[in-house]
Amino acid sequence: MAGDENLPEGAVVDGASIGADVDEAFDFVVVGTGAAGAVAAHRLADLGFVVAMVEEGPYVKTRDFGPDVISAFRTLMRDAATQAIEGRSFIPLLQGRCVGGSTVVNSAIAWRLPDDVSDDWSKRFALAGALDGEALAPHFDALERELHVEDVRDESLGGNNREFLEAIARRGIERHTMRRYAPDCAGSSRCLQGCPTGAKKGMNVSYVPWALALGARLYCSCRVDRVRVEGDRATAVDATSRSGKRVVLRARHGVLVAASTIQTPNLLRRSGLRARAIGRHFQAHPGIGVAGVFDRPIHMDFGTTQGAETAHFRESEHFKVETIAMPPELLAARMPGAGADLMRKLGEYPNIAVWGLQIRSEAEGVVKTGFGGRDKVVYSLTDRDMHAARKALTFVATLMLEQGAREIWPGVFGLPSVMTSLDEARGLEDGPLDSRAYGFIATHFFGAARMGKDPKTSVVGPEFETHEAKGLFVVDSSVFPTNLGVNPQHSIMAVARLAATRIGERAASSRAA
Amino acid sequence: MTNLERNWARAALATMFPSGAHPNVPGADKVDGGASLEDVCRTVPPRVALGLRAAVWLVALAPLFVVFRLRTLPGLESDVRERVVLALLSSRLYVVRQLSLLLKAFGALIFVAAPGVRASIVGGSVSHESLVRLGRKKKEVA
Repeated sequence: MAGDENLPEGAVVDGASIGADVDEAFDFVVVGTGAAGAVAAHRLADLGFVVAMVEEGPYVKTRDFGPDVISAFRTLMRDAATQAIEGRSFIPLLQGRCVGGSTVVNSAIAWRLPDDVSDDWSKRFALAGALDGEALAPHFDALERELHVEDVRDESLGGNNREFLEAIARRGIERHTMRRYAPDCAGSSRCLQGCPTGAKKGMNVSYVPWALALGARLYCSCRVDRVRVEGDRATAVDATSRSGKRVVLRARHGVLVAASTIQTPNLLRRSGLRARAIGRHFQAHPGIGVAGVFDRPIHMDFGTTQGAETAHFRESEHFKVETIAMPPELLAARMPGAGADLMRKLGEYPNIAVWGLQIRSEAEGVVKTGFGGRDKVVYSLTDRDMHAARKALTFVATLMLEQGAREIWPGVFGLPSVMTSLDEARGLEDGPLDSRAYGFIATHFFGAARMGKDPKTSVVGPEFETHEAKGLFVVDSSVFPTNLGVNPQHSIMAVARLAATRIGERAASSRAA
Repeated sequence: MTNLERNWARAALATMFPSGAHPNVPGADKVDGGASLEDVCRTVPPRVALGLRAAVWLVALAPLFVVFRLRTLPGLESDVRERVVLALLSSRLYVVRQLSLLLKAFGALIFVAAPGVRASIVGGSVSHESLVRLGRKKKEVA
């Protein structure tokens, strides 16, 4: 039985079926149940506080996860996965919107905060001791213990990851299987649609139910309208249930916002905060997938969705390369052309591999409030980012051909849609520098409510409390001063755990006093 | 969506994912692409629904400016339809390219979700039920 069954009676209040207004009081209210919110709520509950979690999306159970991407998009993703970053080009962005947030639809990859990022935050943003590797180390340890982090096992590796590791080994550079929160991974290759076996320890089957077991309460399908700030203090969360009822959750000690980098800034604005830094310094990791057709079976439908990677170029060239098994419908959208030729290509699905690249982009964008109150992100890649993307694309394309791919589909407008030789693939390095020519997708988001000591340039201080309102904390990746260049879930969870620990200890000492 | 738009959407999807091109993979003409797309339009934000409808209009009326024929897409022979759609997907105009790609992406989501299509593409190597059983078994053993 998956971890999302047999929850304590009355612990989950489903906003889709609330019949009357709600007004209740807790020690802490946590907004969001993704990587940050769930961990923070669990930590506070573990410290003995009475905690409420509020989530805009529904609680979709493991037993209801199916193979169709379109169903997953509709039930698990924000705006049915149709959000896009607006800038020089439209870059689709994917965010979970359900209990567990994006951890329900990501690959559960565990990377500790890299040392170079920690050093940078300490030096450039004066966050030594507040948000560095040393402060986070015990929290990483605890998370890895609790979630049974381990390397992808050989029996669930699958052909896509195996071919990648072989190809990289031939180049003689660093490569490894992913470390993940999926100790019993059955290799369903369905991380993106919700793990059908419950092996992936998304927040929906781990910290959310664990927090509920410690006495926390979850309000799902309730959209937070604002955090109520009275005087200079956050006192409650005002939400609206999907059934249209008013939900007021009062917070004796504080409100922790973990609504994600894209939603948190606008929630702070709706709550009356006016800091200039809100919404600024948004960063991401734009990525591109490259598909290759082999003469041997790859079977992307079996194996860990993302099970192998190399970070060899992370610091020198600002990119990371990893596998990404794509379900047929997503691959079909990425395949070149249409009609009979597209169908023939689709028929080759069992022999197709997809490897991707992820840019540690230097670009900074802005999270704004768009028409009708929607969250709007304006962000354009820089020249340096585009050079990194071209180099990474060339690397992946040549790697696939060296590994024996009969043809590859780099997906660059203006260049051949099908490449069959190394010479052609090397030409990608001279490809266009216009981001509109590439099929980027963005999944990791940072900044937009940065941590710092100066209220003019940051939104929260080193204790995660906003400069403007006491008792209002931001604990998600909005507070990160920069992006990481690696998958961020682990760092987001560790930061949230660190934040909740500090906030809880402070509340405990004030309560004792 | 109007009846006209539904017919156009059905024709566009059947052109992008036609029958008979691969012995194992059925085409989108077995799927009511119009009704499915209308269903999608109900669940996505209004601006995306508007974009999808604009994409349907674009593809339907493209024969006028791509092959200079006074017909909508459903009125063309299948090879000409394909030529029109390919021209839009590789248009030099970014907006045209993106709108056509939006329709293709949703077409793929709808098409592969149709009964039997996924299994025909992946070869049916791992079923949903067997994975769920495997997950349960592992937990029981643990």
